[in-house]
Amino acid sequence: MQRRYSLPNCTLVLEGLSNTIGDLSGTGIVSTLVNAECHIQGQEQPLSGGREFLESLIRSVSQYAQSILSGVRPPQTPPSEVVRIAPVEGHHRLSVAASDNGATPAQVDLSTVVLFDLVEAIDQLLADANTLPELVVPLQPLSRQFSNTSVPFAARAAAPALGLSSVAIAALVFALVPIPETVERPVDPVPEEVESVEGDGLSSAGTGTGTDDPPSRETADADSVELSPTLETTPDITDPDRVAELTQELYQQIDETWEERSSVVTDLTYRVSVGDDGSIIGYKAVSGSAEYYEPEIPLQDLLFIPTEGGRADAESLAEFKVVFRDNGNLEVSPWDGYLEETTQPDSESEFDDRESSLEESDTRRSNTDRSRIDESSPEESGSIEQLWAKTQGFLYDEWDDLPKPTFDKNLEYRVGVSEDGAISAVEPINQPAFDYIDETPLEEVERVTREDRNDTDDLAFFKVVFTPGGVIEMNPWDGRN
Amino acid sequence: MVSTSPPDLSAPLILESLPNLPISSDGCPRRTRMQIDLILLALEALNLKGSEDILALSKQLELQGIIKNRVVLWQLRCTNPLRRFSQRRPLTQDEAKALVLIACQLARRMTVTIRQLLLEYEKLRETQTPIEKSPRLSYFLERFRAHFRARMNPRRSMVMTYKSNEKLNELGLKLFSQLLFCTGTAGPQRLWISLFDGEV
Repeated sequence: MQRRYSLPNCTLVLEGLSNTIGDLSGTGIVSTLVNAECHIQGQEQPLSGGREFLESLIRSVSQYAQSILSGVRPPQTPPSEVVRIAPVEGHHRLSVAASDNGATPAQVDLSTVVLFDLVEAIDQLLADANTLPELVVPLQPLSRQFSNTSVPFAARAAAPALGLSSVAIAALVFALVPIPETVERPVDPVPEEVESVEGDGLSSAGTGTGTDDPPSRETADADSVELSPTLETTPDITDPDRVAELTQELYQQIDETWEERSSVVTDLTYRVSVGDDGSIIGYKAVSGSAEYYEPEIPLQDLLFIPTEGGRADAESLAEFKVVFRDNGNLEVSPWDGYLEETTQPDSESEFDDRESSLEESDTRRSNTDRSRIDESSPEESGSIEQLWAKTQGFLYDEWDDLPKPTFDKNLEYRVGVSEDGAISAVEPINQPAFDYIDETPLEEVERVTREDRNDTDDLAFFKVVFTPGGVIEMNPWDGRN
Repeated sequence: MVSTSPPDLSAPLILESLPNLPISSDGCPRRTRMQIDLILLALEALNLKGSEDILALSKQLELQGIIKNRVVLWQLRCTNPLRRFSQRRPLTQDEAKALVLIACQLARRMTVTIRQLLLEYEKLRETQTPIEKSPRLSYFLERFRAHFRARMNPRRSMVMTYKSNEKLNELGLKLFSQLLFCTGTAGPQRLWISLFDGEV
């Protein structure tokens, strides 16, 4: 009996015997293989052999297809394989070794499409319960031991550029952060912590004196280079959009470099200063053990160090609270909460532990008119911030899919967002917002999420502004807009 | 097999076509999350209404309990650490399976396009003709580059290695080849298993 699995560039033909005596219909189960032929388009002679050939073909092709999908290649094919495949100059070279069971030695270069047809012919054979039903290919992932020799999809192109992660990150920092023009003090390392700084030094940072003058005090000893002089004289970044962006950037910088997560056994809180270009200018351990655990966290590696020596001075600064949780989670939030105005903390002692600093920022928040769904607990305010960041990011991505906007005035909307991020209750609040709603993703997003929405979902309301310049401003709705 | 029972939100039947793998309880590894999103990104480059089709398929395959809406879909995809708005949430095996099943189904629908593009590319390579000479290939690669650049975080070192059009084209073509292998009879199984190579 013969079975054929035909694809445009490859046909697999199996000849075998049925174990059903007297089966002349040709529809029974082929249980014994006599010969297997693999006809590849453009090749005069088919690849052929017996059972050993077929099984080896299936194993090798299957494994090779997996490595195309994953980019991870096992170091070598076992010597016993009759059929082997290896990449050669953009092709896939399939070679058949001579074997006792009659396989004909051959070598053929397959293009990706031909190779796929071969894989598909094999998969159809395997799915066919009437042909050699006991043939199976146990698909399973390569074990971890191969990951070292792996060539992940991106690393191939990235190989020269990616070294050890610390090197890569350092390069990243240097490549992206412009060297500040005012590098005032030729002091070697950048301050790492401000252990010796008294409360007023740091706490005055929040007030932002608004002067651009760089500090003039010379400090020769690295250990005494303190964060405070910069902070005292450098204005805050107050634009909420920029602060939100910086929050996101800082999160990503730290998250991608924080490796030793399991060694952190207690929550570690730091106060981190970030320049307007996103570089980390300085940081300070806030919770008691944070200082002790410093080697476990990547802040030191991420510090922006000017190439010419000296220290980094930024034109303006934002401060963030960074919490390395004992469960491996990372939290980053503006030190003063999501506020434009800041108040001065009373004393440094307030920042002794996480709880008090959370209380601090929560109290400040509720001092303002900004309305939120619920101000009862810091956790919930965190989730509002997440919802906010998430919705904004989502809208950016969706907006990006639309044609370039033509409006020339800001479009302002009141938008309700449910807990799972579904957007509803879109309400234009100025005339251009009515006129140009088609140029925003809001209606479409509302339409597609409408049916999934539960009417009882609590909504958080935001004011969302689309600017002609392509910015989406998003702020909690305070009822007065 | 077509399930006639109402969708069980906790574990849709179709997910059973893909085996559970012994990974950590924190969800899918980083490479898994990256690759799933990139495969979908490549599909979006080929299909003008990619995300709509993904949602429609999620219903069709009774996976709407997992991929509830566009925002959830976006969130799942943003577990890709290269994303500009990378989400700090794990991607569970069930969520990953759902995305894999949808991606493969979508790829299957576009088999003809994918094959044509790859054949065209092979022809160009044989004659050492630049990709720009093929309007069709250039068009799809341009779409891929635009999607990639709009979605990925340019500060990530891995993303930075794709700064040039040439490197991004290479990635796009590689993903198109991978998509071809998703279109087959055992496409979902093959893709699924490959996502964990070197991770178990």
